[in-house]
Order: sequence, then structure tokens, then C-alpha cells
Amino acid sequence: MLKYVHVVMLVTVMFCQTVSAEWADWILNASLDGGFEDNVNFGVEKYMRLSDLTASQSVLFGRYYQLGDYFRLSIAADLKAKEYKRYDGLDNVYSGATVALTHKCGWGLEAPWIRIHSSAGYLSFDESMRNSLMYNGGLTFGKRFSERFDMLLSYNFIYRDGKNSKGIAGFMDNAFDQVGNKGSVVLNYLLTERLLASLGDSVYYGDVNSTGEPDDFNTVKSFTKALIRDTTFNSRLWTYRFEALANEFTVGLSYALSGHTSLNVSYIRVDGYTSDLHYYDNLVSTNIKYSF
Amino acid sequence: MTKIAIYIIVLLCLCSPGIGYCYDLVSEIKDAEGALLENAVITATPLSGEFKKPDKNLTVEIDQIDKTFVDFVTPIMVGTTLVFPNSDKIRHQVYSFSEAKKFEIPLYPPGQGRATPVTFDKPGVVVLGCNIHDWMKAYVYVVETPFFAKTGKNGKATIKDIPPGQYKIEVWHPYIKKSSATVKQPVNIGKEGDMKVDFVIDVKKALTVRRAPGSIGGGVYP
Repeated sequence: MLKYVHVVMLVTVMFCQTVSAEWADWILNASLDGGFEDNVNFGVEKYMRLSDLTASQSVLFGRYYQLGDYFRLSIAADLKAKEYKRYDGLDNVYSGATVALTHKCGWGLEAPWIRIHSSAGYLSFDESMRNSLMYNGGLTFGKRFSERFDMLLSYNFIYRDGKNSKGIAGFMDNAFDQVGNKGSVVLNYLLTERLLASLGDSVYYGDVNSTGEPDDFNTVKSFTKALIRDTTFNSRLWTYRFEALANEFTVGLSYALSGHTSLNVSYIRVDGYTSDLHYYDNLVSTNIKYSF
Repeated sequence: MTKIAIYIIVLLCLCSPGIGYCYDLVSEIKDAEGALLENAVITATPLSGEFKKPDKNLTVEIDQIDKTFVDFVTPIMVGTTLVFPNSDKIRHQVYSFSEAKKFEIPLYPPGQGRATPVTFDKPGVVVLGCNIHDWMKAYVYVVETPFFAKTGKNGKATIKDIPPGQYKIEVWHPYIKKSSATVKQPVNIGKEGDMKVDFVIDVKKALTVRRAPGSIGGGVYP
């Protein structure tokens, strides 16, 4: 299936060349990121939460096609790579393509816009049992209230088609298959000409993975949908899939180095809830972003 | 005898202030913190209300380069026609919702003369935008007098060739606060040769839509 993703990307780039340049503009977004995550395995017990330093790079490359005064189509290839300092089984590369159609509802910077978007790609880990096809589709509504302040509301459907692994009796073995729905709100507020503060919150309901020790099973057995032996961290651990409600809160600060480049810091707090248990993860990251 | 009379008349004309001579008005604009202000517009309006109107239709251009309007501030006289060349490789739009001039130019291709020119027939401030690139913004300041100039990076502007007389001198800046003293009058031009009229004005910490990517999302119409 991986080869099909690359075919899509290739077609994308070729298609990019066939449209009159005055109707199309390049998309080139790149990011270099360094961060710390205090629960990379989304473990539930304190002693089971594994932390690590991360480094990642991403490039989104493609074209916008202006379809008249109010519509814009974007097609882009999306490449991301993430490395973990201690748990290199989690090192991963994502390659995919994304398509979005945006409609601006009127003239002016305060006119709201709506975008329908879809992406598909392949997520490849050093520990190949985690390899998955990723699909994402959704709607985003954007509204600027002033030059200082804007808001994004979005809905995303998330589908991950993972590999089946060796499981244990009584449980399914597709721990990395995931289906979920996510609603998000992002508020951006310009503090100074260069400094942008952002707040985001999203609520996700759907499948979640956690990796833990076999001793934990008695506490998680009642709601576990799939369970497999996972060698990503070490041979004693198991990964299980369950349905949870997760809240993700993000706060970020961005300093514009130029019209195209920014230096960013962000903090993300993820809280996952089942009927009995509470999972959480804290992520701190800093990055440099470039946008053409 | 006739020749002597003519010489005397010419000599008297040349010596008489205000006949045949024009003067320059130099102005330096600073903000309340003493920083020199670029893009301030200084105008001189004759208190008599009389001035010579331009002989021909005036045309001024505002270009679009690297998805930015150039210039950011353009002062023009009422009746001036603005043209909008597009030096980028992609199509742009131009719009204004300002009371002094409302218009929309739909998407137009790169090059010269591809967008319909717009004539500004009322005085006031006109804010321009591009519907695709939200960070693009420019100001057109439409004035009734032919005597105006814009400050450069050194905060200085010179209005050239002002006939002698009494004038109202005004300053405007896109980020000026209402509390600023913006008018000086009467200013008697020609009495003491070239004039210097300086202003200190309060300006807001101005913000335009940020073009650079944000930490989450970004916010600009994607």
C-alpha cells in the first residue's frame, strides 16, 4: 500500500506543473522541532510512564490553485520524521499527501472561511509492528475578528489501519487500528507585531493505545479491545487498545523572525479518560517554522 | 524712458514677496518617544481656499511585490486615478471597504494595466487589502490640496513650490492617535523664505495580520 501513497505524491507534483502559474502558488512549509515528552507510551501508572527527548522535521510541499475569487484548492506532499533519544523503536517517518478545498465567504480579512480537507499517508516505525496507514478527513471553519485575533474550529475523523501482531487469547490482535473523532478550537492573539499567542483545545473520542506491564492487565482488561506483545520499549511490555475520551490542551507562543519564519514554543497536555482510569501526557517543544 | 520704467517694474516685482516666488515647507515628524516616523503625510492647505488645480489627470501606482503592497502609504489629491500593477507571478485582488472609496477588483493576472484603474473622488483615508493574502494592507490618503508630501525613513518630508500665503499645515499617519495635535495654523509661508514645521504625534502600536506561521494553526486564510 505504501507504494500507492508515493504514486499519489508523484502525481501531485506532476499535476502541479500543468496549471498556468498565475493561478497557482507554491506551498512550502518546513519545520525543525525539538521536544520532551513525559509519557511516550501513554502509561497509566506513574512508574510505567516513560519519558524521552524528541527531534523532528517536517516538510509540506505542493501548490495552491486559486479557483476564482472565493475558492482555493491545495494539494501537497507531506513528509515528517521523528526521532526519540532513548526509545528508538518509536522513531518514525510519515509520508503522505493532503488535499484541501477552501471557500472564503466574502471579501476582506474578517470574512469567514471553511475548508474541507483529507489526507492519507503511511507511518513507518523503526519497530515495524507499529507501521500503519493513516487517514484523516475533516472540516475547518476559520474566522478573523480583527488583525489581532482569529479563531479556528475544526472537526476531524481519524482512521489508522495498523498491522496485526501476535496477541493473547481472548483479545484481538489489531492494537494499532484506531478510529476516532476529534473536535478542536484554536485561538490566536497577536500580542505585538511579531509575537503571536495561541491557545488550543481539542476533545477526541475513539481508540487510544497504551503500553504497560502485564501486571496492569487486571485493571484494564474490562475495557481493552486488543492486546499484543510490544517490543518497542523492551520485551516485557504489552500494548493495548481501548476507547477513551481524551482532552488535549495546547498553549503556544510564536515569534516572527521574518515574514516567512517563526520561532515557536508550545506546551501540550493530553488527558485520557476511561470509566476508571486517567492517563496523561505532557509535551514541551520548540521549533523553527518556515512558510513560503 | 520706457525701458527704465520696465526695469523698475520688474525689479519691484522681484523684490515683492509672494509674486512669482514659491517656497518649500520642510517637516520632521516624531512620535512621543522621539523616534522619527516614516509614512506620515504632511499637507498644506491655503486658508484662502484657492489653489491652482492640476492641468492634467493625475495617475499614481501602487504595485504588488512579494505579496506586499508598495508603497504602504500613498498620499494623493482628490481626482487622482490609482493603477494597480501586479509584479508578482500570481493573481491578486484589491479591495477597500473605506467610506472614502469602496471598490473591489476581482482576481487579475500579473503585469501592467491588467486591473481596472480606480479614481478617488472623495477626501479621506482608504485602506486597501487583498482577499487572498490577508496580511497585505496599504493606505491611500486622499487630500484636497495639491501641497503634500510623505516622510521617508528619516522622518522628513518636503512640500515643494508652495506659493506664499497663509496655510493650515496638517499631519496624518496611519497609526495616529486621536489625541495627537495634528494641525498648525495659520502658518505664513513666504514671509521668511522656506519654512520648517515639525510635529510630535502619538501613534498606536500598530498591528497587521502576521504572515509568518504560528505555533498552532497559523490563522491566516490558508
